[in-house]
Amino acid sequence: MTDTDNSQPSGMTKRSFLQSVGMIGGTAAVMTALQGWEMGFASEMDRPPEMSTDGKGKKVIILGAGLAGMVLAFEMAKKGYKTQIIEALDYAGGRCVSARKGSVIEEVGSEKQVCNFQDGNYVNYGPWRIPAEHKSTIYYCRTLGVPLEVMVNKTGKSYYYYENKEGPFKGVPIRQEHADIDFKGYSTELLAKVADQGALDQLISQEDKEMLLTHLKRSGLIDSKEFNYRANRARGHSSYPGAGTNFGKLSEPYEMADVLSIANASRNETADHPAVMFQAVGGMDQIAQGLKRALKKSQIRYNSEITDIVQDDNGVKVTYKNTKNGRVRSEEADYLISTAPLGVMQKMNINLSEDMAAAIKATSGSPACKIGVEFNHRFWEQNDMIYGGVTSTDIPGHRILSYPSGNLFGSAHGDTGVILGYYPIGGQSIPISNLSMAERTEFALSVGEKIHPGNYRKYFTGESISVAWHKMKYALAGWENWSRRGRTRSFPVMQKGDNRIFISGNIASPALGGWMAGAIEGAWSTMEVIDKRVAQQG
Amino acid sequence: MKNYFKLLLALLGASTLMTAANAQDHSAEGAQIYTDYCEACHQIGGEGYEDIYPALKDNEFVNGDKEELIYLLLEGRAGMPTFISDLEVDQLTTIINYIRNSWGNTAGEITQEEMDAAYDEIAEEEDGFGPGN
Ligand SMILES: Cc1cc2nc3c(=O)[nH]c(=O)nc-3n(C[C@H](O)[C@H](O)[C@H](O)COP(=O)(O)OP(=O)(O)OC[C@H]3O[C@@H](n4cnc5c(N)ncnc54)[C@H](O)[C@@H]3O)c2cc1C
Ligand code: HEC
Repeated sequence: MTDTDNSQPSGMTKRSFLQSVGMIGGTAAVMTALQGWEMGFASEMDRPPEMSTDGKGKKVIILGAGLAGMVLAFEMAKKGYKTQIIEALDYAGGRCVSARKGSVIEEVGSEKQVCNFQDGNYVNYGPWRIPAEHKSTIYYCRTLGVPLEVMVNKTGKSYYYYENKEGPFKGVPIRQEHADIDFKGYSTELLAKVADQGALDQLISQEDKEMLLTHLKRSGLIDSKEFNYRANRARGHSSYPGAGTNFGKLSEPYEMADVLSIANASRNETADHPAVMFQAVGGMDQIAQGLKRALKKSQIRYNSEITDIVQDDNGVKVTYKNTKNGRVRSEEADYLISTAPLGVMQKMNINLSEDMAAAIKATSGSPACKIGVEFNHRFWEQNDMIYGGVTSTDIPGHRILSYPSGNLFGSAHGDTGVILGYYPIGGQSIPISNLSMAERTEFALSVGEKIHPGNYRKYFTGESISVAWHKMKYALAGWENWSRRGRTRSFPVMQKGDNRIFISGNIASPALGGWMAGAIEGAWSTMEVIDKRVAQQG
Repeated sequence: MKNYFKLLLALLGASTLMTAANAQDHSAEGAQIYTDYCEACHQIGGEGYEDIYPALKDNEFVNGDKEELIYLLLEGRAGMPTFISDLEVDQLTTIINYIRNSWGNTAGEITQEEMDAAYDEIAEEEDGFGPGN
């Protein structure tokens, strides 16, 4: 299972380049190279770092069995460190979870929810999509045998639904491909016209201008004489072609002014949110389960909430409470690594240095809510030709609706599926979290019904499950944000650790906040910090 | 954001949202902002929740240094979110004055100018860098 020996990366990765620079030029050269990439401490990594030290049985207590805690336990145990995870919850994975039949979600001060989806149905109420460039996440899926499948992040067939903006499309679901292609088409038209009229002659050479015009014409979006945007095959048909003499009918573009009245989602289409992404087959929690399987059973102690951490120059003593029976125990170790979100860390009694205590207050928690809504008919596929992807709305507290990429066509477990019914992040998610579970479901249904009138309520099975991450006791946020001041002043303090206590997890990767890759690479960067520490001081 | 209340009220019926508003309102708008943006964590009446979400009622920090409180709302702190991009700058003033003068708190008002100065300083520092998934 745990095939850790991997094929060498092809070509020179940033790491191996850095190592070679380091060999020749020393640390200063490495730092200069890092700055050249505008990178801080950790480089883009596609595998765990090689620790130079041998743990020789040094004991490390790891707070938290999330992805970061399990990566640390797994990798450091291989180097001779004795690793023990202490976890408050009764499962491994932390925020890397999915809800399926039997799953329980219990927010602070709210009613307990038990998921009652049909077998095979689930919702990823934590992580839900992996971009190709997150090599670290994919590394563990590949080496631990966690199968991934395509997660369709963008389809042209899903909708933009805006109702808080005046204009012809107010309250009307618009196919994304129509709005996107029209925007591109009119832009192409305008660019071709100004280029042709010589308005770009100061900016580009005659030769480049000719090439530009050739490409614009070849786009198929504009006619080759007048350069006017017109109906085209990218935008598609209003009446579909078929056999015989049915050539179908191309759909007519919207008016330019109308297209400009809706914001398309292109600003969301970043390299880490491409159209095609990945998800773990059967639920994203399978990634956590893969790591859990790679550990010895005894490496994780569940239902144990750490309340106190006391360190001195010789080691650290941790006190934890059994969340089921209240029994208090303590355990000693050489080092402690906390992977708890910083909001949660505030609640523990820890003798940190003043600098460190201040540094761990420098983030702000980002609230986030999700809801999974179950249907007994995949109407979005059969009626709307939508297979995965995201519908965007401008309704505060809603933001998006995402169709399942698993069980496409109902071919895996029947004509049923779970839609991610809303996913607000930041402040707009707070009012949603102050609603009862029934009100949240009603909110999701009322918005869904506007986008899929006549179907959304009709095929709802009556089962839904929702989460407000900022009300989950051991998370208190979806993820945490570092302000610029926090990143420059507090992060370096936090990252180097405080005597026997180190801080890891997603917060150790400010640039990858809210990503599993941030948790994994945060763990890897902590291994490097500890390696250095042990090499210097034993 | 401003349409938010109208929308939810229409969706859910005014009663569900309004029941939670505090009896001794400092201002109706402040009470509404509190219900929508603070109460999910700090609870009705600013009572807080165990040791997880601090009580704002009878709280030294709330009744203390104005500037620190302004910065907390703008920047957040650990489990406490930032509200710089989800509340308008005048709403931020309103909510601060609300919590400083409700539930027995009597800390007095901050001015819009005090809020504006801090807001501009922090907005200037923000570089649009942010995580996401
Ligand atoms: C809504 C949402 C959407 C996301 N979407 C994506 C996505 O699409 N793609 C992606 O790659 N990532 C995504 N992420 C991010 C990803 O889920 C996280 O970055 C990652 O799971 C964090 O792992 P971690 O180990 O750092 O922290 P956690 O998983 O939070 O682990 C910390 C552990 O510590 C435990 N703990 C806390 N306090 C104590 C205590 N006192 N004593 C003992 N144990 C304690 C917790 O119970 C938890 O198990 C998303 C996250 C959320 C919330
Ligand atoms: C997501 C939950 C959440 C929401 C919503 C929230 N807070 Fe907080 N707030 C917290 C947490 C957690 C802390 C403690 C932060 C820490 O650990 O330092 C806190 C701290 C505070 C404090 C400082 C208290 C002290 O004793 O230091 C004030 C004041 C405060 N919040 C006001 C507000 C106001 C006003 C709102 C609404 C605009 C609000 N909060 C919304 C979670 C929340």
